[in-house]
Amino acid sequence: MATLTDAHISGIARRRRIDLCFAVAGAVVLTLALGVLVALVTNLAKDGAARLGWDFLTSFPSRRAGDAGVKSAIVGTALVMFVTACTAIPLGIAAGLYLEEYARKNWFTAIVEINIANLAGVPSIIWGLMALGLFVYWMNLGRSILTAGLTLGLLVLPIVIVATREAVRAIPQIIREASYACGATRLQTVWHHILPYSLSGIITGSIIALSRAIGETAPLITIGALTYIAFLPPPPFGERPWHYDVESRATFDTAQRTQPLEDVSRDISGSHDSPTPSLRDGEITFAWRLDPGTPITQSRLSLPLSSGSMSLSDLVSAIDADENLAATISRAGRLRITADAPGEDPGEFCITNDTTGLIEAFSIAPGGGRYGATDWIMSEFTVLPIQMFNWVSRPDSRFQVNAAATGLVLLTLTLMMNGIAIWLRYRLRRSISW
Amino acid sequence: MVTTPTPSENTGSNQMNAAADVSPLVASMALPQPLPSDFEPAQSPTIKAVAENLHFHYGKFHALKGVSLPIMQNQITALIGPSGCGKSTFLRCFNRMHDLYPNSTYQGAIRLLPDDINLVGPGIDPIAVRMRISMVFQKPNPFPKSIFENVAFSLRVRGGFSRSEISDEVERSLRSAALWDETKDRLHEPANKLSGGQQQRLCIARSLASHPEIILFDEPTSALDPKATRRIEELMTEIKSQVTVLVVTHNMQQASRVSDYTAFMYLGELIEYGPTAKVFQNPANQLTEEYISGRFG
Amino acid sequence: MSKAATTPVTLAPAAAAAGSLRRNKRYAAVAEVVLFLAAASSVLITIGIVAVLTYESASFFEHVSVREFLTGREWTPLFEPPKFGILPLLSGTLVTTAVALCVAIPAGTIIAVWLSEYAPYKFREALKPALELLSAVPTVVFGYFALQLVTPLLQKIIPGLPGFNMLSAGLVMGVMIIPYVASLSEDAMRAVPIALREGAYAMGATRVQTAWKVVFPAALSGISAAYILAVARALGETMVVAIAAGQEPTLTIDPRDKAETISAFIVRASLGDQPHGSIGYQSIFAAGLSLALMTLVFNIAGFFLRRRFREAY
Repeated sequence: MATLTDAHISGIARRRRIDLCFAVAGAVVLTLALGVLVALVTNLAKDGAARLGWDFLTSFPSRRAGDAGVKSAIVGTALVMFVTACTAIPLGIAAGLYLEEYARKNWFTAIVEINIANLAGVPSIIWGLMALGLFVYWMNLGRSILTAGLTLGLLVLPIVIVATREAVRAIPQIIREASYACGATRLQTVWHHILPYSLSGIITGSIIALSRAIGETAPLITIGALTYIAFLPPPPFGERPWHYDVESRATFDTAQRTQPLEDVSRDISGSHDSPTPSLRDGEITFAWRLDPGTPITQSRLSLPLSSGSMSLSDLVSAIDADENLAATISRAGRLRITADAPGEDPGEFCITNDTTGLIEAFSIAPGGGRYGATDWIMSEFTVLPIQMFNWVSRPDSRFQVNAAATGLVLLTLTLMMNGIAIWLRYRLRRSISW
Repeated sequence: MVTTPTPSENTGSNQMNAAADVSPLVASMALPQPLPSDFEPAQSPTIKAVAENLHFHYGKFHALKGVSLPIMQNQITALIGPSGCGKSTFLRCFNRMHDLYPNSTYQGAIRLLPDDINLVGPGIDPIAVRMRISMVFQKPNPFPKSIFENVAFSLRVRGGFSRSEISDEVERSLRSAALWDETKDRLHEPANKLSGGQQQRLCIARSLASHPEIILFDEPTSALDPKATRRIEELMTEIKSQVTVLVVTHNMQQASRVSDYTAFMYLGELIEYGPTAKVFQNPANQLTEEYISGRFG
Repeated sequence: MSKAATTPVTLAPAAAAAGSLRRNKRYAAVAEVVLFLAAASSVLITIGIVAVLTYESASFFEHVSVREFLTGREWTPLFEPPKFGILPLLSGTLVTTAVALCVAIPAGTIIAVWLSEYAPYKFREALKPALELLSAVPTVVFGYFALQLVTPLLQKIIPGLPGFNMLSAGLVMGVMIIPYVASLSEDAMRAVPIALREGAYAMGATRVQTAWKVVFPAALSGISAAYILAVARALGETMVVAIAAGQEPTLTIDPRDKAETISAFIVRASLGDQPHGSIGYQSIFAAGLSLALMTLVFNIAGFFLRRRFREAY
């Protein structure tokens, strides 16, 4: 009997309750997910907001957490993003236009389409490995801004391609026909119609692509972005300073996370037999002097010997912290110290330490003159996410504060870019009606 | 720069050839037919283009099955027939719109006179064809640009025009399309702001700007209200002194009101062709009569 | 006549310059070549990735047998004596991925169903961008969040939980992937024809019954594509695990342990700056190749499933 019994009626009530339960559950889950976003932002703000100030934005990194800033990271991020945009946007638009407007349906097009879908799913760390093998070693582009920009540009290329294709596909066929009926070539149709009408969609996609690139960390670590950069890339046509370059004779074992300080001082001095330099109040002191004759700069560097050992990156950062010096570890594990001196040729570059006096004298890579317009592109660099990663992986809680502040800067940038993109898309949807 | 013989240079000889060549096929259709007394073009029309045994395939689908039809110069020829009869397909052969899509094959010929070029022949550049034969579509499709730029587009495509030439041409075309008075003060506003009827007249102006020899109208009023439709119909009659018109229409009244000649197509074949008055008042074919009297379609 | 018909037409209307068409066509031909090369470059990129990974891995496998690589239980390529068993990295990768999926799949699915079947239009239009923002947060920030907020919270619930653990990293990674699962699944459910829903409602079904018994199964291939792509994302995710899971290869399936994933190992090794051509350098690529193959399988499966659901409607 198909009559509605009381059981059915109460069944309806029960089913309605389940329905309501799910409606509530769905809303709760969604709220929780968005709550994580809120928690994340407030947590960052709570930890880092106090640290975030003009000084933080305009200081170079330092081994003293309180003095450290993100100047080089901000400049590096801006320059890398510039290269990324120059790579991904033209290439992505061109590829997208080809696939939508030109490509015939054949096996090659099919392969390209599957390929792009797969590229979009390649983990970013794998992009880093590709860049390390291809750009850094095979093309010899070094760990430069160019390498980083290319890597991120290719990484976000599928996003730009997909955005372009969707924007182009939204243009009705009748517009193309109208253009062709006027005797336009395919290029004229693309240039006068397809491109202008899909531009806002393409811009939206490009902003999203760049906001993805700006937060990418892993591939840049892989290609060897430096975590401590206490200089800015050379400005186009800027004055080229006199530049010195000293490499330690000994090789550090870069696989060791920490280095005994005694070894460090010995390695730097280059004389393996001599006793460690001055040991006073639990500190090793090095004196670095540029030009022994008429000293332009004299710097003193102390390392806390009481800790017994320190990581290579701390050592590098300690040297970097000196405004005149910069240090890197070469691939071969040698500590390289570089110094820039403004103005005239300052003669020799000496490294001395308090006890043993003159260690070595070099006069290498004389500078002077002016930089070319694109020298900056081959410069070493750091970016915001790398800086943040470096600080977050330090046990010292004061660096966590810096990490949080950097995270805030990064988050502001990405959320702002996404906000603009979402707004553009919303406006687009309202304004265009074919 | 390559100097091409301008049409005027070779008109004389070609026209003769063409006249001689307008093939037995057309001759056999006994054209021009004896005209009814109420039918007037002032002088006996010349042939502007002629389709000869035109076949067209979309992939395997045989859409046109040997259509032969003359198009009279400075006359309006209407193509009528039920949906799917191939009239739009036929129309779009004239400016090679099918070439935009893969797997389109033409057989036979559409010869454009007086220079006697086979529009669908091998080695003919579809873009060159479209420069001479423009098209107005079913739905008004102005570019999302300014009114001015819409009309100027076909000139920009050709290149080599000065600013003043372009603006003169835009004005002329808008006047011809009876749109100048309504738009002269807002030439740089977006074309999408115009009403549907105005948009369609803009599309006509756009087609006129390049001085085409033929304009193809693909159901130009099907998206318009009766008043706007009336304007477009008037316009078609006005512009035929400048240009030859080929129009596909669903609307029998429209065909009879506007056209000088009418072709009735059915299932990819031409069933009947003749002066409009004749086709409507005294159709030779049973099918034509049934279609015109609304018994199917 | 036939001669005239086959002569290429370079004509243009009297008003136009005669050579312009020829010139335009030349530009068009050049442009087509340029655009083609751009599209073809994506294939070159893939070839580049494959070439680099296989070339360096090939050198690696000259020193290390595939058997040792796949069955060894210790992974210490940077220390003496080096050991090259990928299992500890694999276990780390799989456990964090599993934890992440335990969060992302249920939450993402529920959100997708809710957005597609329950949320009023305006709500949905406002909430989808908000979810997008969640996925826009840089992964390194999520890493900080896992280490500095989630781990201390978990330590209050699970006593003895170490400061670095896979649980916290996996949970945060899961939250990170929720928008991804939700938006792909929602797309799939929205693509289900409205007639199917009306059919269900006409039979007296409630919304929850319509959603789960009609819409969900109908959209299943699209939804499973979302899940599979989410797996690929989780496998390859790097920064959260590198920061919060502890960088020590450990062969364990207990998410409370600290461990290292394949991607986190690549980060750690890169930070230590392996000399080009050393076995340490090559081991990065061997690990990378394993990761790439794993994600590739899921990505391809996801691609075809997605295409199938697109064809279905």
